[in-house]
Amino acid sequence: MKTKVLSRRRFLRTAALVGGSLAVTNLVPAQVSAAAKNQFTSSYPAVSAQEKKLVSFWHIYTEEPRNKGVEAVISAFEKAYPEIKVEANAVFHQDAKVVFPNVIKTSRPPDVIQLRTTSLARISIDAGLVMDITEMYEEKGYDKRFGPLGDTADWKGRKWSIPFNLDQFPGVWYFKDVFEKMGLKPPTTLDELEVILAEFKKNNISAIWIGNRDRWHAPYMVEYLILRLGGVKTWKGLADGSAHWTDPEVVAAFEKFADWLNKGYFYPDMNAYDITDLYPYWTSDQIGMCGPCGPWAFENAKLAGRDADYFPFPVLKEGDPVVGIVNAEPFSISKNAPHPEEAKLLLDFLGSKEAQQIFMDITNIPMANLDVDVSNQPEPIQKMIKDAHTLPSVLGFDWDLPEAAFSVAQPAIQEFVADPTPATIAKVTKEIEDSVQKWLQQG
Amino acid sequence: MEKKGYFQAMQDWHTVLHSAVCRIKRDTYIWHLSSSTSILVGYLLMLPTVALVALFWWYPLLEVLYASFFNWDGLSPLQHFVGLANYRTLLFEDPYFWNAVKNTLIWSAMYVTIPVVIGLVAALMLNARIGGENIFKGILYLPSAISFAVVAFIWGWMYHPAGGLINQMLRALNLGVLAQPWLASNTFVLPAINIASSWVHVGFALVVFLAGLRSIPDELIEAATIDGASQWQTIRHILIPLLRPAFTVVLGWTLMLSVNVFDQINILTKGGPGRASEVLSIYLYVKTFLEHQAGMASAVGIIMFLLAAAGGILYVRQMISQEVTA
Repeated sequence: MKTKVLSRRRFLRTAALVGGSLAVTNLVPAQVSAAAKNQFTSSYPAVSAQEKKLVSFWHIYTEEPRNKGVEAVISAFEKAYPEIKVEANAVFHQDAKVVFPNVIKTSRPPDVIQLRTTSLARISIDAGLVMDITEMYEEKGYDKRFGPLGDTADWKGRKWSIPFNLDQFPGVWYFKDVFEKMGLKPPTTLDELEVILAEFKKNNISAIWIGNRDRWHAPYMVEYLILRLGGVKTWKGLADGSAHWTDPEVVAAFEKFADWLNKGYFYPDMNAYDITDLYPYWTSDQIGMCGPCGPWAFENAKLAGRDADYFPFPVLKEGDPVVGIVNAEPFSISKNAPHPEEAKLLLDFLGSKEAQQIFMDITNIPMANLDVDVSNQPEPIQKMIKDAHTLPSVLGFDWDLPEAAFSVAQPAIQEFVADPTPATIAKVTKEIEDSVQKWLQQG
Repeated sequence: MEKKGYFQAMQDWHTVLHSAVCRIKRDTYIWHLSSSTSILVGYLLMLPTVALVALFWWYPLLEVLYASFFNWDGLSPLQHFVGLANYRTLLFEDPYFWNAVKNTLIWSAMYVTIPVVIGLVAALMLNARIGGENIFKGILYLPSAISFAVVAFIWGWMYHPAGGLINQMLRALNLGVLAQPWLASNTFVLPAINIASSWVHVGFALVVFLAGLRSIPDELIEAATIDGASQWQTIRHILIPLLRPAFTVVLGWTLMLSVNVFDQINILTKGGPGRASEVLSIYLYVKTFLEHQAGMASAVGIIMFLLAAAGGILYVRQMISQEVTA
């Protein structure tokens, strides 16, 4: 039998041929199919997806009803601008903390992006990754459109975002029928609130719940107590470094929280529960109140067929200002947006009365645009919107504070609620203060 | 046509592969390649793998090393060179870093021990050739195929303080006093998540140990029995020493996985309560994406790499020394 001898030249030639073929087969089908597609679509004169201008839109509305709301808004935009197609991408809000900072610094960032937390927005602006839209604000009169909520778009004297829906913690949610049955009235002062807490406790019902497994819920109670015992000045001071976590007003807020915890007013083991774990206990009257909670408490009560209402978090004494925690889920344009003009159109539409009306009608979530008609909304939602648009407000815990403070404060507060003693208060307030000071030193 | 069994089919494949390899060896000779060309061909064949490893492993590693010398927020261009300041801060000023190191070491010790102990006991029992061996192996190995995220959710429900299976069972057995908020307890949280995470490797450990046990000649066991060794003495002085290669594989594998754990802890507690379950990977995530201190996080990553590399080197050295001994 004759053995076939493969020469070196033949081997190399064959290898080159095979390698080249592989490379070509990887490229050609895409080109051929694209050409074929173009030829195919060109035979149809109607506007095709390929001929439309694109605008990419990354947001955090992954869950119902928000996802339905945003889909309807996108449809309305595409109807208003038939030449533009929106490529939407929803990212779960916890994942967005990782995904959005990475995607915005690529060479092809999303045109419109929802930089949810203020700290991320600030850093992205400082890094030159967000478009300055101050001129849009002036040209379109956005200040009138959003009122005081337009201030949430400020950083270093310029405007960077438009507010959309409100992420609001108006106060404490309760069931009207339960309050009527127990002869209770919504409180206005902390002393009155304590009477209600004690009344629930007396009836062997956990008075109030916080689900702090994910670490963000209990900080809102701390924030409200600081606002009530130290005032807005103290809270804003904590945000800019002019006040200290070891100040007596702040320590007093922790002590008040500790007092309520030690008296057993809260549903126990709050660090073991996510908020969604505790709705069934609340809606089945094993817990009296949810607080401080956002409009999601109303949504879930409604799903359970209950009639919930809220009262603003009580003040220390009559006459004190009722300051709420309100922040907006804002949208920005990437500085390197591939389609900046289309992005501006989409951003303008997202801030419009039309878009925000569509979103609210589907979700019952309060919106930032002052002209949105709320007359068809349930009474508590109307009340929330009125409060958000008229009462003084501050941003939330992880929106207002420097990132060094809240990332240390979240586990520290978790530690505090598990062991609400004076020693723990001293430890956690010092820890948070030290982290802020270190952050300030680093500039 | 005669229906072939699985092992027969495998044997046939082995024969085919063996003859193919021999043929390639022979053909290589026929190609009349010089030794230098042969070496060149060898390098060329290695090139794709080396390129991929360099691109997706060494390059990012060097980038992370470079970033660890900067004060960087993760978004701006790298500008503020700080030298070794990030390492100094971590090693000498940051108590949370050392807390994470301590938790990582505890975590790794438990993560390695649980599959090794349970896997070994199960392998010893199955080695007695009891009935239904394949069913047991299947049951114990199946969890390895489940994603860590799913496992975390399942155990999250089981650990639920009010309606969770574990506390419900304890209450049903009149042991309600032992019921705990497992994931909210500083004492129990790390063991609780560890059990939830490491049990999936029991099947892997079982299969490796069982293969090791089956490779031990029966004569050795018989000789020990004749010499009057008890069952425990046989296990202690014959089986376990001869299982050293299997131990190395299981320990090395679980150790590497333990250092890189993230999903389960992030889903179940995010490192809480407080910082009770914060391991290095969670700490790295917090530094990068919550505090936006990517330079510092890069330094954490490099330290994690050095820890894992130290473990890996010990593991490889152990493997090599065993091969030499064998």
